[in-house]
Amino acid sequence: MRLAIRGYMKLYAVYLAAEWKKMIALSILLLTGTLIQLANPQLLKLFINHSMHESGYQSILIPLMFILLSIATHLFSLGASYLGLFIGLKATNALKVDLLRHSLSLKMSFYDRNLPGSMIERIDGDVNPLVHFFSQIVVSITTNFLVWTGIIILLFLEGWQIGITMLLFSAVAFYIIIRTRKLIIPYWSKLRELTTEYYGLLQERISALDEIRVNGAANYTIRLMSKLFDRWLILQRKAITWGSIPWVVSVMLYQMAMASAFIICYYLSRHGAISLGSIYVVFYYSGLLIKPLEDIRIEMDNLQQAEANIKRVNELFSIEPEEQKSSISWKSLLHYSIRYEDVSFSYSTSGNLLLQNINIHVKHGETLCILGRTGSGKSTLARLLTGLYKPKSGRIVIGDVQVEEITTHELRDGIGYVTQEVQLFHGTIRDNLTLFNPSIEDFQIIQAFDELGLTEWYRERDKGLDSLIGPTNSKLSSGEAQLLTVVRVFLKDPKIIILDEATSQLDISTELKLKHAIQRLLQGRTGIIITHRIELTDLADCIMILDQGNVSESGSMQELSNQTNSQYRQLLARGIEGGQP
Amino acid sequence: MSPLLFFKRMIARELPRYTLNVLVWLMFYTSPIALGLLTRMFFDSVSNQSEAGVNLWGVVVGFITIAAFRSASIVMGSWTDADYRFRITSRLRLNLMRVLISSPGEAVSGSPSETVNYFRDDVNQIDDTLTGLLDAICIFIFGMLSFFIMMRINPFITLWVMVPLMLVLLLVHLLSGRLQSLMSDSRDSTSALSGFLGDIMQIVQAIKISSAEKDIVSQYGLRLNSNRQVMLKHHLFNQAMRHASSNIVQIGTGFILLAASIGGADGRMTVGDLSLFVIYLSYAAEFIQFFGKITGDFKQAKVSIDRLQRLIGRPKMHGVVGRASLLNSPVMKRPEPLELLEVRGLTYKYPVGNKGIWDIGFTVAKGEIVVIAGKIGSGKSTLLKCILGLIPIQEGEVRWNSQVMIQSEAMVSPAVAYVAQSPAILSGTLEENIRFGLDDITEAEVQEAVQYAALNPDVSLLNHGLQSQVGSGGIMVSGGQKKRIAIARAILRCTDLLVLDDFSSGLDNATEEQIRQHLYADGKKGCIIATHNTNLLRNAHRVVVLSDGKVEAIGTPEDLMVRNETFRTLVQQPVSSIDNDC
Repeated sequence: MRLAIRGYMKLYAVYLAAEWKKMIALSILLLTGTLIQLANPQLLKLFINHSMHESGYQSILIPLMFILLSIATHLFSLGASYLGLFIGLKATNALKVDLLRHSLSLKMSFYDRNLPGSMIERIDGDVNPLVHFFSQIVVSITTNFLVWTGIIILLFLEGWQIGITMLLFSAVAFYIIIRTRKLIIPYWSKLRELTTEYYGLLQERISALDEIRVNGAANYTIRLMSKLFDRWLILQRKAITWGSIPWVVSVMLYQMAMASAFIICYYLSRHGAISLGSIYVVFYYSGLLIKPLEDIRIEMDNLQQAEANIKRVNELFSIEPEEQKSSISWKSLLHYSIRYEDVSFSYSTSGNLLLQNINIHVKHGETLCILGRTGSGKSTLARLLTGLYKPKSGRIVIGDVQVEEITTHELRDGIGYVTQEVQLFHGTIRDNLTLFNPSIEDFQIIQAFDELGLTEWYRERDKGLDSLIGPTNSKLSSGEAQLLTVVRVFLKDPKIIILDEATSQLDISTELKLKHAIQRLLQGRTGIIITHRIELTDLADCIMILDQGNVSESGSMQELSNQTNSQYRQLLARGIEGGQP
Repeated sequence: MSPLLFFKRMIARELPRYTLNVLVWLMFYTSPIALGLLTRMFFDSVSNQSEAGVNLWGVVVGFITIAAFRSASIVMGSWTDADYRFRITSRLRLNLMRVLISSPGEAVSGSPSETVNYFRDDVNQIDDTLTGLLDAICIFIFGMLSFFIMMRINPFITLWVMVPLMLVLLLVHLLSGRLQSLMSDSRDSTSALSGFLGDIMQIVQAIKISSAEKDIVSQYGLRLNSNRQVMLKHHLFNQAMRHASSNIVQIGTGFILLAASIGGADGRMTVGDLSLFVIYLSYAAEFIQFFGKITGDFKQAKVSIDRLQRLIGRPKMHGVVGRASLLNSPVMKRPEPLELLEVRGLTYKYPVGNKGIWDIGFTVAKGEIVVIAGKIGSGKSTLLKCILGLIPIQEGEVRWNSQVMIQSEAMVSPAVAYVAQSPAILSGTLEENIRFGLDDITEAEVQEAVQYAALNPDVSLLNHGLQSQVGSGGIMVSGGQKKRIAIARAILRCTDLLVLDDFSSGLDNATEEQIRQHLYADGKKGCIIATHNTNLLRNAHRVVVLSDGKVEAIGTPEDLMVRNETFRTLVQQPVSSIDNDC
């Protein structure tokens, strides 16, 4: 518990510090609102004692004041509620932004294990309930406590006997409120289990509708569900009935408070120690006594829930980001040759090596074409170069500097990398291409379209760059989607180009068009083309064939095609025959 | 169907329980009437200062009695409420399921989890509205009663109090539409935001290699910001309305005082009267809250009812909510034993794309094995489903001994059994999955079916034999075992026509051979089998070769071997390489 409290304080300190002015405003609003709310009944007392006792009720001052103060209470609590949510949302939004920033800084291997769905849950789902935590819980507990204390003080002012009675009463009441809460929990969790069972059963049957129908299991299915409903009905009735206990307690306590007020006021009035107005106010305040206690209990529950969420948030924060020991600037490199020296790699910590002692050298301004079957480790080579994964052993050098030592974002900025995976999202064409980089101008995009033969496609879009596309959009063929990801590379000025199966979804004529564009792009740049198609090899200066994590062949195109028994020659022969590898 | 008619029908079914529930809650909701009268009595006696006037213990006992009464009605009401509501919603759920099972497969177009949403969210919404309706009725009656009493005590002040009450009511009513639209804005904006987050998480690699982390994060921040505006707007509006109705007590009290001050003789009231007015006012304030809620609930319920209607079709909706219980559908009369099944000119085109089947015709006689062959995507499964009435026939007909079959009714067990391409195995025991509802069949017959499907070696390896659990979705059994469980299930049905979609995927050669021999030896059934299995293709009585949804050739395997190219390639391909694709 102490740990939890420290956790709260830390989050509070970090995310509410910026909002301290609003926090103070909120406290003032709440405090004033509470004071007015508590003071208002005093007007009733005045009214009863002065106006009602005398023959006429001429004074409309008190009623008007009363209405005014009521409206003021309304406005104050409305303002507080608004401000509370404002602060809460600001804090949680800041927390979400930090979580996203942190998540994006994590290693790629983290994303191999965590699916997008669960990440939404961790950033969005876990934080949303904390709005209440930031904006309400502490404030609500404090105000409710203030209201309660205020009432007790005011009751003491009416008579110490009244104060003592109500103080004792609320102590007992609070104890009972806390106790009854514990009574109902088991039923609810049983009910939740049954509900889960039902929806599981239902989903299973719904996916088997055809077979149920043809094989004549309709009555059987309905019978099965009906049996579950029989069990559910019994439990539901029990759970709901037990669940009404807190409500019963609340009603009982409220009436008891009133009854106690009556008893004590009656005795005081017999001794003439209390005015009628005072009796009325005591009665009024007593009616208000239970609710703050119940609210405090509810907030304590909420706090417990928030605790679980905070724990999950902190867990995500505690995952180590990608190492950033890099310091050497990309621009300071003298040239952009690429060297893999004895590089080995595996995605799992214990599994077989996917790449084994790979040695590659691509000279500055030259292009290497890597051929090989699926699963031979081609894409991994590219991922290692961009630092998405780190080699198990060996090193990768660009210019004369090891990849790890180059500032990560500069490294990735300097490499134009078209991945095999076509990654688009629901959004405008512009946003998909620039990934929200504001420095990319529209004309640059249109120019790139031109170069890649996408102009005609682009003209057909109804809203130009603002047209919406998505990852699974029927308006977008898989080839068009792939071309769009190639556009991203044309929007920057990289020193190194990596194309990983960048033409796999394209038909022959489109590929040919793209090939020319790529040829222009590769001029003066170092390039790696990964493909299982033979067609792109003539863009390369040298060729390497990767087989099961080993370099099985490498050399210039000339050399390899001259070797009589080279794999490359075999590939070439098959390619020319028109077959696909 | 209008929500009003819908609820009328639903309630009509549980009328005694509903009436009881209304009565119990009416006791609860009207009990403040007594509370007010008692408090008034107390204050009036105290203020009269007459020693004899106050019967303190009478008041206290009265108070405790009311408390006990209220508590009892809460407990009882919770029980009766849970009871009738659950009965109504569970029947709705069962009837929906019944309709889904009996209507052709096209009805369920979304994913299973989407369909589950109808059962959860829409039925729950209807459930909520049912309660809201009841509360509204009860509070309305309380309102009338208290209005009557207040009018008798002091009509002048009562009418004065009505002013702010009516104003707020009017306000709530006028603004409820606006509130609804703000709420849906806020929901949409929030779900769009988490959609964006999900998209980001899908393209992490692209973000990293473009080193766009910063831009993406700031974009997310921007969107969070605008989402905040929308949420705050909704919150402010919502809170303003809620506060207005809860504050009505205070403002109303102010109006009472005001009326008393300016009313002269008309405004004369005692402290007891005041206390009664304030108590009634505080309960009447609830009315405004419920009023706002029930209008919203009704709109939501209308949406849900419309959705359900779209799911199952308007005519069936009446069946679902009508009096008739759908718990047991009439047992289908078994058609006369199959001699010849004729498929003529069968056509079905999918609503999207250009896939489908066109003008398919062939026959299956008793004891014949007819194989449907063709490349992946040639329409084999569609054809089987169409014959079975799982998707509607658009043109053509299916004749059973020259009798035209009425689609959605006839093609079910006991005449027909079906093994789907990827059979559904449901959580439960192995035996439950084989019996699939046939509880009156002997153990020996089950064993026979197990034998037929070559499942016996697997069963003997299991710790609990046929009583072993298969896990949710059959997670504990392999793909091949699933297929054989489904075959055993079909065989147990002693049918005239057996329809097998994709015979051998996941089966090793020996098991497949065993089942095949059982099929040949059977002789009592007509079999339609879609398969790539070369052995079956070679040994079928007849083969129908499909290509792009049309019949390319029909004939005996020997015949097709000579004259059909597609058939030749299908037979010559190694078994494994093709079956992996399925």
